[in-house]
Amino acid sequence: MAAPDPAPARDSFTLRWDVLMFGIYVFAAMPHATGIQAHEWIGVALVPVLVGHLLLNWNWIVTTTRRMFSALSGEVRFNHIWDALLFVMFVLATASGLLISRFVLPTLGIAPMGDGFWRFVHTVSATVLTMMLGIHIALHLRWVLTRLKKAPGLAPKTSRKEEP
Amino acid sequence: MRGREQTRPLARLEIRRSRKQDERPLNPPQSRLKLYTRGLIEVVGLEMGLPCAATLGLLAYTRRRRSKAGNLDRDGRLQALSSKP
Repeated sequence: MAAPDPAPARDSFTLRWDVLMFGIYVFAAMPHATGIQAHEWIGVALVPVLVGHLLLNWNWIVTTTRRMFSALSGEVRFNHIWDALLFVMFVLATASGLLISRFVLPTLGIAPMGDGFWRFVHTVSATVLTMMLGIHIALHLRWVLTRLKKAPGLAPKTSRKEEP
Repeated sequence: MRGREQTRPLARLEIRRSRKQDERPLNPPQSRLKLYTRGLIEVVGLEMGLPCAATLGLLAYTRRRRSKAGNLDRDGRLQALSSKP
């Protein structure tokens, strides 16, 4: 007889955090529109947001890592490996971006590396990161849609009858 | 000396031309809205959207195959799919 439980507060917060992170990332990936200075600072702002994302999903990460070599479906295993590669690509894109930054590092009193190698690494890693992120979203889309359905205000009004 | 005096106007012309090239924008100026729209289409639509759509299609295909295989009884006959999600 009880109404369906709304999404746990933590899941709701996690979803909102992920949406925020997605929005920040999209702006960070448009340097032609935002300008290089904004692009660099938005990129730096992404780091604590990503750390928050990892902390919010830490239980899942630890549990899945422990079960990697035991009974786990292929899809979940692939998902986990993909997430690890995504993290590596993010670190590479951020680090290379910092090395060639024209505003962030000079603000900290550090001279950037102007060579073309790190510029090439940053361009390639950022493009690959965006594509990998698209796949990451697809792999977790079910979770997102489930949370959206259970979100207060979006949950369908059910009748008082219990389901058999 | 004469050689240097002759090249001076040419050098000045070259400097003027290179300054004009520096001042001229490489691409014609675009409105902010156009830049952001184009950026959104490129990033969200193409770079992120295409791999996402391809992955969703692949996942739907593999899950469908798995669910069909899982619904085979001992005799290998296909059972009705459950209506529950």
